Order: sequence, then structure tokens, then C-alpha cells
Amino acid sequence: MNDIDLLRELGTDLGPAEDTAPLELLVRTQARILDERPGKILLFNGSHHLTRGRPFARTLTAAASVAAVALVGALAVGTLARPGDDGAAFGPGAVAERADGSVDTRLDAGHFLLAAAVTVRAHPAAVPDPAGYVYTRSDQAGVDLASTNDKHQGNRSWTNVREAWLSVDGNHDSWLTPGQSTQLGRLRGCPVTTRSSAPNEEDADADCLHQPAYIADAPTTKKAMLDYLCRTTDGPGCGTQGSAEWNSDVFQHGSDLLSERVAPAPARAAVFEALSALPDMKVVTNATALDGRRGTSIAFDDVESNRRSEIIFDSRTYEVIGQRHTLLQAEDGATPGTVIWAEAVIEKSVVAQPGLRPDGSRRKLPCTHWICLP
Amino acid sequence: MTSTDGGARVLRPRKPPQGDLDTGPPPTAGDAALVAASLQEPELFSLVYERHANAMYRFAYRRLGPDLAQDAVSDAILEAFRFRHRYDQERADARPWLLGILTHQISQHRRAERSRYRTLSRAAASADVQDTHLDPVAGQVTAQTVRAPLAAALRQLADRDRDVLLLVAWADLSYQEVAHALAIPVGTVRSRLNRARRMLRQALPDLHLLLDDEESR
Repeated sequence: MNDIDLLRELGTDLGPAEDTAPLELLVRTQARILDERPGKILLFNGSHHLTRGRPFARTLTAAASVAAVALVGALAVGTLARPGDDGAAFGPGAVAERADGSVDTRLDAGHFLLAAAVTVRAHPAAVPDPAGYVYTRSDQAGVDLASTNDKHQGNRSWTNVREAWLSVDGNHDSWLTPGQSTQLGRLRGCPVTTRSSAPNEEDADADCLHQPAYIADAPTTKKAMLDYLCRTTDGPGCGTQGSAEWNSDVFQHGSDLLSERVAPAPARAAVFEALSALPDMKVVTNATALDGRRGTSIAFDDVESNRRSEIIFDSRTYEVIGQRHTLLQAEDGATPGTVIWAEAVIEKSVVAQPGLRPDGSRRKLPCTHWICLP
Repeated sequence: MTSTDGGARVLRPRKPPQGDLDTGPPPTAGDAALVAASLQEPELFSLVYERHANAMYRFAYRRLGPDLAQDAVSDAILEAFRFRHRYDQERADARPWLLGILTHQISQHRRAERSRYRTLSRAAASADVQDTHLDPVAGQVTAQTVRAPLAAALRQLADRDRDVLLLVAWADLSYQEVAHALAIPVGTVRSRLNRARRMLRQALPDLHLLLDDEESR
């Protein structure tokens, strides 16, 4: 035995228990490679100044994302402007040959989600201060399609910057800009002492909803998480498991939990596992969030509402970077594949107070009868 | 389409079109042919790295540990995909090429790698078994009994010497393959390897007891 032999023995000792590369490594790498494929990016002929002020590395992808949303404009449903882009119109100038993010049949959604679960489970996140707030800023853009009877009004496009300060422990009021509103609204928190109902269920006595941003006690198994996601807004008995409505609810609530709330790693992993239980899930590679970041998304088709919902993940970390909805079939003059709503999660962090942003700036909270009174 | 057999080869590319028009490489094609074909059919590249992912992972795991190993391997494969047009078609086996790229990715985590060796050497030094460099039962030098000085020596090696040494010892590359992997002359491989081994021996004084090491006699 010589020094090299000793070194080989040491290498054997230091090596992995399994001789094969982990499943999630292969899936994740495959997803990243598929993101790299040429030919799936939109042709962009728009006004390049739209990306002014962005880091150089994000310029091209930002242009692609701008065009992704602007394909709505190319379909003559109006002009979308991205929040913060000084209102520059990019609809008419952009030529969207095709939307990015066609379903990639080479990737299995179940495998992708299970790989995500394994990865997330292996990377525990820090427990946030219970008295703090989970701050999320998301840029949103969408178009409200005019019905056939209202064609004279035309389609209405909109953009919005959503901000949310969700109480970590749910005992304090949370604040957020709901829907397309620019105004902050308040979700009254339930102090522990007044809470008599289970988490996420309405407490009639306290006239409040206990919805902690950090769901410390979230289920950690697939089955329990499925029940939990279904119960989140609909309460017990939220429909028949497997029905279209049930599937849609689970997908949406899972998406919301991953994007705006925080949960221990086992619970987040359980969300991925729960989503893998939904039928006919698809993987979309090269999906672009509204701010230009690209990732891999999972898509859920809700035939009844003619919508494909996608959650876009960072292909490495499985953090949610955005969501979007596209049309499955032509609707009110818009063709299949039209992006009718898109969102990018720009920032997510824990802050000490509502209204306080991670950069130290503040947003004034509106007065209510609970605050601002002497 | 995707395999559902639960094995390591989870993701498979689409089958190439069958019949007279099928000019794609057969499944048993060599790495060079697959890399070349992947320039037109990018998904074929997965066949290349699936062949070598296990070896890459083991190599990175030994040097960086489980978490960083996954990142390094994934980054390396992505880098290889991006630069596959530069692949030397004379090289039938892509393993040295991929391990060379992986070594470069590992170099992004030098501090973590050294820290891993330091932790290992401290842990091993504090273990009772480290009272002697000789295995008390067999009276032989083993990796177990010299873990601490071995890990400490690895940590103290120059980065480029360690790269060569570990490509030989932990990735089983020949001198020629190491030269190809790191894009350096074979003579440089030899000199770096000699320097690294000399350092190892200095850290392992009991090695002179070994009879089958021609260089330590």
C-alpha cells in the first residue's frame, strides 16, 4: 500500500453512501439544460429602453419577459406597461412570435416536484422572529378580456405592484394590496389569547382570521398537506377530492403558500409532494417571470375556467420567482397561449414592522379605527 | 419522454426519428458522437452526462461534501453544455473533459474544500484510534489510522497540485487524461503529482514501513 492507495481509501470513506448521483441532481440539471435551449425565446423588436436601469445580465431576459407579457398587446388587446418602466408602451413595438414556455413533454412533473421536495427538505430555512412580518413585493401585470357583449369597451390591461406585510405569528394585523388595488388593506390578526379556532379557520368570537405567515405547524406529509391546502380557505369538507374544483384549489393554495408565506423545510417539501398528486400536471421549461428571470414552471390546466396556471420556480433552488395564467383556448378575441396575468416575486424578506421595507424605506399604513387614533 | 423506472437515469431524451431519415447516433454511440449530435439535438447531451454523473458526483462529494457537490456538478454539466461546441472530437471519452470542468467548478469553493479537510483532520485527530499511525490490530498503515495527517496534508497542498493528485487518486484518471482535463502538458501533471506526493509522505512518516511503495524506498 502506498500513499495513493491510502488516499483512495480515504476517498472511499469520504464518498457518498450511495454510488449513484441523487435523483434531484439529475432532474434539476436537466431542467437547467432545457432552460438553455435556443429557439424558445421570443423574438423581440420592442423598445430596448424598457430595460433601462436594469443590471446588464438581466437585460436580455427582461426583454424576453417584456415581450412575453406584450404578446397580449400584439393580439390587440391593449398595451401593458411594466410597473416602474415609466409607462413606456411595449405592446405595439413588440413582436411576439410565440410565447415562451411551451409544455415540455420530456420532463415529468411528478419527478420534478418530488426532486424539488427532496432538495427543499435538505435545506432548512431560518425560523423568522414571531413578532416580525414577512414582506413580499411582487410586480403584476394582466389584462381583463372584454366579453363579446362589451367589445366597445375593449380589453383593459393593468399593472400593479403588490406589497404584503404578513404577520409571522398571525397574532398581529397583516397588510397587503389585494387584487389590482394600489391601496393597502388590513387583515386583522388574531392574538393567541382570543383565538379559539384552528389555524386558518375563522374565529367567530374574535372576528378575525388567524393566518400566520410562518406556518410552524404546517403538515409535513403529502396527505396531510393535501387536506391542509384544501382547508386553507374553504374550511372542512371543501369538495370532493379529485374534482376539478378541488384540484384547482389545492394548486392555487399551494402556490400561495410557497410564494408569500414561510414554512419549515419539511412542510414546504410536503407542498411539492402534494402538488405532485394532482393529475395532468405539466412541466414548462424556459418559463419567464414578469421581471425577466427564467426558470422552470409546473402548469395546471383548469379546463373549466379555460386557464393554465403556472408556478415558476428558480431551477436551482425551487424558490418561487413568479406565476402566470394563460388561456387554454381562444377567448374573447385572444388566442390560446395568451398571457392574461403574470407576476414576479421581486423581494421576500422578514422585517420588524408593517410598512417597513427591507431597504429601510417605509410605506405609510392607512388609518383605521384601530390605529392612528390617539 | 421520462422514465418511470425510478432508477438514476430519470430523464431521457426523445427518441430520434425512426426510419430512413434517422441519422442520429445510436444509443451506444460514443461520447464524442453524442456531443457532436447534441449541437443539433441538445437533448442528446443528457445521454453524455448521465453516463458520467455518478463519477462526477462521487468526485465532488469527496471534495466538497453533499450540498456543494450537487451545486458543483450541476454547474459543471451546464457549463459543459454551453461549451460543448469546443469539445475535442478526437476524445472518445468525455469523462476527463467533464471532470476538468468539474474541477474548475470545485475551485470556486476552495475555502469550503479546505474547511472540509480541516474538520476531518481535527475529528480524526481527536479519535482514540489515532493514538498511533499503525493499525493496532494489523500493524499496518491504513487510511483510517492516518486520516488526520492525510486530511491535513490535503488541506496544505497547493490547489493545482491537489487538483492533479485527486484526479488521479479519486477519479482514476491517467496522467494523459489529467493533462487533457486540466489543459496542461503531461510533464506538468507529473511534476505536480510528484510534488503533491512528496508533501503527503512528509505528512505520513510511517510510510517508510511500507514495502510496496517503490518511490518511498
